[in-house]
Amino acid sequence: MIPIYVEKGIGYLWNSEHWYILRTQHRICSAFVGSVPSFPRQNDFLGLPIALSSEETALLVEKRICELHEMPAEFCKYEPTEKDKELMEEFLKKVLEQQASALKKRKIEQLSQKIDIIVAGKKKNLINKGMSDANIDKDAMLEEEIKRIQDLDPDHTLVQLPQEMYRNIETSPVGLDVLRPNILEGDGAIKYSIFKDLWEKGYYVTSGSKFGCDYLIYPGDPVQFHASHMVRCVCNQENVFHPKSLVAFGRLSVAVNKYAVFAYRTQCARIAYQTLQWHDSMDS
Amino acid sequence: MTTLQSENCQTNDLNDLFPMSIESLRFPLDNSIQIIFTGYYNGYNVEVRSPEEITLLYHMGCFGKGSASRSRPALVNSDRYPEIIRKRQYLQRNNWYKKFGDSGCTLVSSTLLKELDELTAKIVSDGEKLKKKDIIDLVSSDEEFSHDDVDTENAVNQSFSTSEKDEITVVIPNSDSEEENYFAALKPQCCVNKIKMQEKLILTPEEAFFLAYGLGSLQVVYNNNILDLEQCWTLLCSNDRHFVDRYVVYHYFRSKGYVVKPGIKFGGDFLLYKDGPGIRHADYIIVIKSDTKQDDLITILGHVRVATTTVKEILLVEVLKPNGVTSKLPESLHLYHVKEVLLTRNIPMTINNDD
Repeated sequence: MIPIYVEKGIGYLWNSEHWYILRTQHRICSAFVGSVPSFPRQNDFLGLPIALSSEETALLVEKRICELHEMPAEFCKYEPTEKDKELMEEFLKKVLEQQASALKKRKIEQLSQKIDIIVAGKKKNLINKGMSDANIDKDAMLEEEIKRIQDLDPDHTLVQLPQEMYRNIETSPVGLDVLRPNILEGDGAIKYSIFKDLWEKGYYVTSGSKFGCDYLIYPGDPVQFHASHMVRCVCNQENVFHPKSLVAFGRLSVAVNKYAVFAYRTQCARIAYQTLQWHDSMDS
Repeated sequence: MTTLQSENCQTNDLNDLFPMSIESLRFPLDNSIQIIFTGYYNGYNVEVRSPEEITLLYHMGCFGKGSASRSRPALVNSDRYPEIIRKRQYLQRNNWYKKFGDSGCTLVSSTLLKELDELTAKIVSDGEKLKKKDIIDLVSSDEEFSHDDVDTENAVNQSFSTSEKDEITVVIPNSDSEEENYFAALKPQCCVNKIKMQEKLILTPEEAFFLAYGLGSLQVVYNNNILDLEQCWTLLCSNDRHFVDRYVVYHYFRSKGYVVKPGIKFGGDFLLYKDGPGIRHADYIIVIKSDTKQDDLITILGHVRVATTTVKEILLVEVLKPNGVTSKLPESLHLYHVKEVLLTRNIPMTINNDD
């Protein structure tokens, strides 16, 4: 079971493998909200952690793919103890050693490949200086070169910034009622049932706020496809539509080349859909 | 011009669009004499019928919309040249003539409203029949003309007389299929126009009341009575419960010097033009905040997105009512306040790249 950590009503995930599983196997595309350590000072590409919308979180919990955890309250005021500092130093030293040994191994490999060229070069040098027939031992040459490799300077190493908490923390399980906006009652419940219905039909469903609708439907992974439908949820069926909001919705769908769909819950608690389409011409 | 429009946007010169010879006008243009136009209320909006009034009203302030044109009324001087219409329009007029009898009617609006009722009845009955089907076509299937109309057209061709009362029109084939040889195969026919389509200027209720109350240059006629301001106000308020808010906003922006036109085609309430529709594109889309329904972020984002794709900005307008005033008195209009919020969409990447 993949854990989702809830804070202030929003679920977060830090583990990159879990994110990959959620996206490829379970069709949940969440939103990246963190900064990418190797790509700082820009807002176009964000990184882990991902923030899941309440509908996505509720769906994953219902389908028993994830479970919700809450961090302990004292976690916010975390201050490292001496033991923690020691552990961290050990960790960093280990990382440095591993990098140094890997680098040395790579350099030895490179030298072994090029040793013939080096020997030939040295021989030419000696011939030029007039000393011929000097036997140059290939292996001794290699040993000499290897000794000349410098040790890795700590300043030139890569430091890993762990995304996920690398220690075990006591977390407490929580229910769906902590999620904000609320999906258990009112408009949130209707929107959630529409989300679930669309997900069960096999689509990828993401937020549509930048298009003025509630959800965007993709026939495949959003990375490969454009959205095919924009869905607006009608929660209150008593309210009358302003003609101008209908026109705006229809006009927008034409401008961005998607189907404009209204989704609502019928009396028998099933979800029904209505597409709004621009009629091309008056005569057929 | 808003910040979004580039300065290379083509504009039309006002004088080229409205050429007018002053001698043809029958109204005196002396400043001391006020011109009073006449509008006829038909239950939905106010019609202005005389061609001179139509020209003047549209020229001075872009009021109204031509009933047979896309926006600007295109008045045809029928004394000199015959009207040129397409075949489907000609068949449609013959259809109307057959349906509504030999009235030779010049008031096509009443027949149009009757057609509208018939159309809605047909859609409802169609909807009940085709309940199983997925698509309900809002365009009536009545559009397909029966082929016996073609015979009547031939009959009419043979029997037209050149009396002055009959209007002769030139009928040309439909240009739906974009064939290359449209002009080569063009065979214009002279036929008798059975129904005179007199173009009227349609004023929305807000425009009409502004002309009557704000400018004092329109009198509204309903049921053959000339209405005074209070009666006019009551009548217009009774038909549309949002009329007060809409009128306050219309009056407010007209007073600022904008040309205010209906904005339904962009999903808003009004459009603001600096000079007029034919001259430059609209700058702002007005969306009036509803006092009954709370505006949610998604709808507003939708409006902003439409505005972005059409290079306009959204003005969210709220009308503040004074306490304890009924909507019956037009005199207390000055107590209403209008609050504006300008919404634009700025994409950081485009802004940063422009540097």
